[in-house]
Amino acid sequence: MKKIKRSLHFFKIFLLAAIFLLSFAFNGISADKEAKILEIYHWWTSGSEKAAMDALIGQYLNEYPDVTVLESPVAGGGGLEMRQVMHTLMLAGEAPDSFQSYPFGLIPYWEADMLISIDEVWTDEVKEAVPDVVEDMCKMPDGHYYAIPCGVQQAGVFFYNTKIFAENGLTEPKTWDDFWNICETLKKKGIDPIALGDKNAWPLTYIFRTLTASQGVTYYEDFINGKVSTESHLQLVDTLEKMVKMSQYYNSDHAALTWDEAMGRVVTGAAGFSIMGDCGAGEFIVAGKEYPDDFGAFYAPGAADIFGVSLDVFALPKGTKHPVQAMNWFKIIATKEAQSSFAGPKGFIPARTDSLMGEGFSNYQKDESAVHFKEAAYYRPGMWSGTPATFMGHLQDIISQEIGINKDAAAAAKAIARIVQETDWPKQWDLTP
Amino acid sequence: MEQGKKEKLIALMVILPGLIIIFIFYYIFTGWNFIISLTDWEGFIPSYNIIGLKNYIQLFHDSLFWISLKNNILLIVLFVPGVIIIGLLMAILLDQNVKGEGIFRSIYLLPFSLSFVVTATLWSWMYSPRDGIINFILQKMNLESFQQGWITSPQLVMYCIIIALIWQFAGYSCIIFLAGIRSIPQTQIAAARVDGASNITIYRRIILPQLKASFITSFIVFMCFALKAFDFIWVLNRGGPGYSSHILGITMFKETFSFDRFAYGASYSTIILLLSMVIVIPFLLRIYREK
Repeated sequence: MKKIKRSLHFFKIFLLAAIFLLSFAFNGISADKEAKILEIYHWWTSGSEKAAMDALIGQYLNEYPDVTVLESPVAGGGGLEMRQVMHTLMLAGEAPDSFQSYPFGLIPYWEADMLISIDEVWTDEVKEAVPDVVEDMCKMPDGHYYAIPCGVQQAGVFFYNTKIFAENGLTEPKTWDDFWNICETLKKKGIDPIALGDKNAWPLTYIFRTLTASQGVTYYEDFINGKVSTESHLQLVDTLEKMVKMSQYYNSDHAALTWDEAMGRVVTGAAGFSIMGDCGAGEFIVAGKEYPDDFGAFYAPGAADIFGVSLDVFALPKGTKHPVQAMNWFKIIATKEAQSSFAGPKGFIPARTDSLMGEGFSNYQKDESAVHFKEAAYYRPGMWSGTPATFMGHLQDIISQEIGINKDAAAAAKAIARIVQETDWPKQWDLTP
Repeated sequence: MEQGKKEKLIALMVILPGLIIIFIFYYIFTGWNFIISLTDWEGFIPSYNIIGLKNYIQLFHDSLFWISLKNNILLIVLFVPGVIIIGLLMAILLDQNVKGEGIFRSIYLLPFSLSFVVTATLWSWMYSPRDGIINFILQKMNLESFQQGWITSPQLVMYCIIIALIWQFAGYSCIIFLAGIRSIPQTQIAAARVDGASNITIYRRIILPQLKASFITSFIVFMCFALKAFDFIWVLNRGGPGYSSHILGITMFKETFSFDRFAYGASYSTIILLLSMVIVIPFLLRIYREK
């Protein structure tokens, strides 16, 4: 009987302790709501990315010095890892105040009614300052704005080593014949023509995206609208066959390198050129190289008049604990000062065309990327920014398996046509106004 | 209330929280996973209709499922015997009254105590074709012709994974067998020695036959691990290159969380569960029968 009493006594103590701890937890939640905190999730973890993020947060803290900014960087895979982290947080009702995404990566949350529109951030002044394509990319299919961009990164640039080109009598190609001639010339000289680092699979798909744009803006528009749905589509097959042909010009250890290691080969002159977004220029700049003396940039034949717009945006999830701070965060990002302070160290160009590109910007950003942004005849959303994330995931697997390993353009075309048919295409782009 | 009844009531109260938690988080969710696998749930919104066994029919027509299953089988066929044999040999060596046995035991067990994230990262460095230690050593030994892409080669990647996993689990396997060997009464071994039995005979006739429980335990543990393996491969190379090292767990994860095909991913989970049960249930039945 004594034993029973003692057990009951312990049980009561256990219950009291549990209630005591739970009361602390609830107290913590209510206190948290009133705290001046801004919790952000993003995937920028490298040196330049951190510098850019620090500059952006600095702009915010200048205006709101009493707010504590809690950053949660999730490293890896161009945001693929963070997508999974955000899925878990959103489903658990633990969404942060704001998170980074590609514009189209927001679609599943929007469909699930998990986002809050930020129309009030998109004032007439902001709309006036950004190109239509950027504005359009920040809207969801309901026509409301759900995202604000930190800057624009140009997609699909061929960065080359000017010394290697000069030594071999090569110039920027205007046609595909010129392009294959460059590859053949460098290969004969024992230099890897194309540096590729597809350890993380996506850089190979990145080339597919770039070549898709080289088929012309109308075809690109059809592709991102889900209209290229037959395996015999001439431009799809041509794109994939070019990829197979390209594979003979890659460095043999491409599967073991990351994209920046591959770009490093171009920097040192071990390879002729590499295909990447504007961030590729950062590898040259970090190595003390100057544009246009040490490195140059060209576009795929057929894509010179098209600017590939890749956007990293921030969005506002429902159920956020600090909505006021979050909205202020978006308003700061939308200012031209914040755009400049972030884009400079990040290697981007500001999404607002009225932002200054002063000392913090390299010659490449000012004289190549910004000029192309201003003068391009067409703007295309990058594929990650313009198509469903699930489609891109499948596309990456197909390119990696059928092109990267099997070198089978027909099998890749068949598989791509199948996933195009299976995908829901919630948004239709109009790139040829 | 009678004392016996009260004691039973208290015992029930004590185990009830654990039972409830196991029931909810294991049985209910496993059941829920199976129900989801019978639906058409795609996308972030949990809205779905029951579509019967369509996901399973699609799965059996999906070449990626067969690639993943084939890789899983390869993992089972090579990893499980490999880790058991090497663990057993290590246990036999440790049983030779070596000096500093505790230190060796700790060294052998160390890889197992490391997280898969750490070991996968270590092995990805070692397997690196350009600056990995394996190719570096081969180069120093003038064996350049043996240098390989290792984890970047679709033909070699699964074998590279199996070797790394055997390295990681061999210490754990060794401990299981060492415990088994040490539980054998020394009198039996001493008696055999008196009868003039050699060491090999002692192991063959006395020790190995009494390690049946250790063999079965290791077999089940490593078999289940091989079926559920995910984290090591995910960190090492995300199941690449292409689909070369996709196993069921990797494909299930990608279908569910990368492609938001929750129902289809759930059907993969159910298949993994069924395969595990095929292994575990006969084992449990055997234990009950022996008792």
